Amino acid sequence: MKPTAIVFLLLGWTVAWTLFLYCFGRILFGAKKPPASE
Amino acid sequence: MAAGRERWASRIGLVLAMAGNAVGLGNFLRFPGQVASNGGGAFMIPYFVCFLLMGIPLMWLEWGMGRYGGVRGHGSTPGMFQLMWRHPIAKYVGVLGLFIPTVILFYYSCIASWTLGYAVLSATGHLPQVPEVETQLPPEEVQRRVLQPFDDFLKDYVGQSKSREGSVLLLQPPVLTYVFFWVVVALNFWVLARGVARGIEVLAKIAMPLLFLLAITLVVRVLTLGEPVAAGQSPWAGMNFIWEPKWWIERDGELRFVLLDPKTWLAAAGQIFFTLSLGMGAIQCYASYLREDDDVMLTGLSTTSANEFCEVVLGSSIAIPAAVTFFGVVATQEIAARGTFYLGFTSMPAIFSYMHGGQYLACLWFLLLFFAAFTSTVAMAQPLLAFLQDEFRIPRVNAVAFLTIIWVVFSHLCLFLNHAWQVMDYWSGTFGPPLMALVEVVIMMWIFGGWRMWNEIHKGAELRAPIFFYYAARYVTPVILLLIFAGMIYDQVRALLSGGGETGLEGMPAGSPGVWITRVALLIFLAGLLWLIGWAFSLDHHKERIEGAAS
Repeated sequence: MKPTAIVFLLLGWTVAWTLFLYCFGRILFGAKKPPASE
Repeated sequence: MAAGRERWASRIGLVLAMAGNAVGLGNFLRFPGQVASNGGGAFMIPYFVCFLLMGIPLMWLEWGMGRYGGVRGHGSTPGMFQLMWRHPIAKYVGVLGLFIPTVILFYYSCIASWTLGYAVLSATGHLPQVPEVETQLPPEEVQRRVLQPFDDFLKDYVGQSKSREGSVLLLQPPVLTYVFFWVVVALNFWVLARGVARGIEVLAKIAMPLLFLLAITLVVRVLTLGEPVAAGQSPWAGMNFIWEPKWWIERDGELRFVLLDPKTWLAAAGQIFFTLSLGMGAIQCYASYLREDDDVMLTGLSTTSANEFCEVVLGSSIAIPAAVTFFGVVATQEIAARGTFYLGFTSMPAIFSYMHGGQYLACLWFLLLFFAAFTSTVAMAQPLLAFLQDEFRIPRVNAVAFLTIIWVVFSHLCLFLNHAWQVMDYWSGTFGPPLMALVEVVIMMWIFGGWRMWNEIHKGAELRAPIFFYYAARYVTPVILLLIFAGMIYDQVRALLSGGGETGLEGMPAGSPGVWITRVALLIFLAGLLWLIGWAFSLDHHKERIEGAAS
């Protein structure tokens, strides 16, 4: 692969992976919201 | 929470169901084709700009609108628009959120049945076979010797081979095609009749992990293909082809700078719409089964992130790299230019037939597409069901039966009428969503109130959006939507003036009787929905509800 292709692949994949890991990390392992009644 | 409305049983189930709604054929077929045709890596710049300025804000707004409507007893856009815009016409404008998803259901269920049929035919060895690995063929030979048998097979499967070039009105599909359609209808009926938590959510919890597993298996297989045909022709050459930025591309006989070409931006915005299922009414409907204090910000972003992962990471790593490995860059460019279906139903089975155990890999590929389509068809069916249940107070099973009757009737147009599904795809999949999105963003951010909507989506939020998104949603998103819409109208007018049909209807001859019959059928369906809305909102329980809300 050419260096510019690698740069753009990394750009796209980094955005997608970061968003995915951040969101699912927070949903699965983040602090749970207390119930509204508390 | 309105009494009697269903709820999602778990948050992860909701995320998977919403992701199932969004992840479809667009992720695995449309996206790589768009990237290949619009500047490769350079396409990712307008793609992510549209994602940030239009995709994310619109997605949050649709989630917020859905929850707002759901807690007040409305799971579809006629009721939601009526709540947010106190005007007699609002509920009729909301017809878009019933018309668009239901028409998509009519033809998408047929496409889903093709994927299921192809999966079974692949596993049983009934697809055409390429006898042995050929050495590097010139592109025209690839088309003639390798792809043509698969193209002919697809035409036979959908019944098009006996009705060439629009000269014949009716398609003549084999019995098997029809049987698989009914299998898909039966599966959808079963899931929908079980309800939101016991049907749609359970399906998503099974189908979405399977979909990820199938996609990852295929990515690993494709990226480890090596160089089976010619030296230097590997999946990594394919990745290079798809990701290398091509700043100058030839369009309409001119060399254009890709970032200054409006068509690139229209393609990027269109892809964001298509992939996130925005402007269809399905997100609002699923979100209407949330509680008032349930988070929509982090949950909504999670479903978006799952969709983007499927698209950018997995979708870009299967079809195009595999095609470059076996056919070379030039032939792959031609394949990508011939559209989504050619890539998925002609090129991919041809590629798999080269591989050891290819019939089973082809089966996995079509199962992947089937799961992606199945989770989307149930999402497209849900808005009309919610409308019937909420506004007419019809029991769920009766509503599903009513929907199925209408659905089967209109799907028969797609199965047996030449060009019918392409016409439906144009009006509901291409033209409708930007119009619907424009209407709803104006209602939410300008009529209902920008700050009021901003506060609404942040109720119970586990993620606070930067204020940048408020201004994007209020000012930038409507402008982008207006530009998309203007661009489509411009293309449409230009096509009409030059004697062509609607833009985007590939291979559809202008003036074909199938086209006109479908247009009339869609108009009748639209009129029927408007009549249903008028009837529903004249019922006593509605008058009481509206008077109660006003007081």
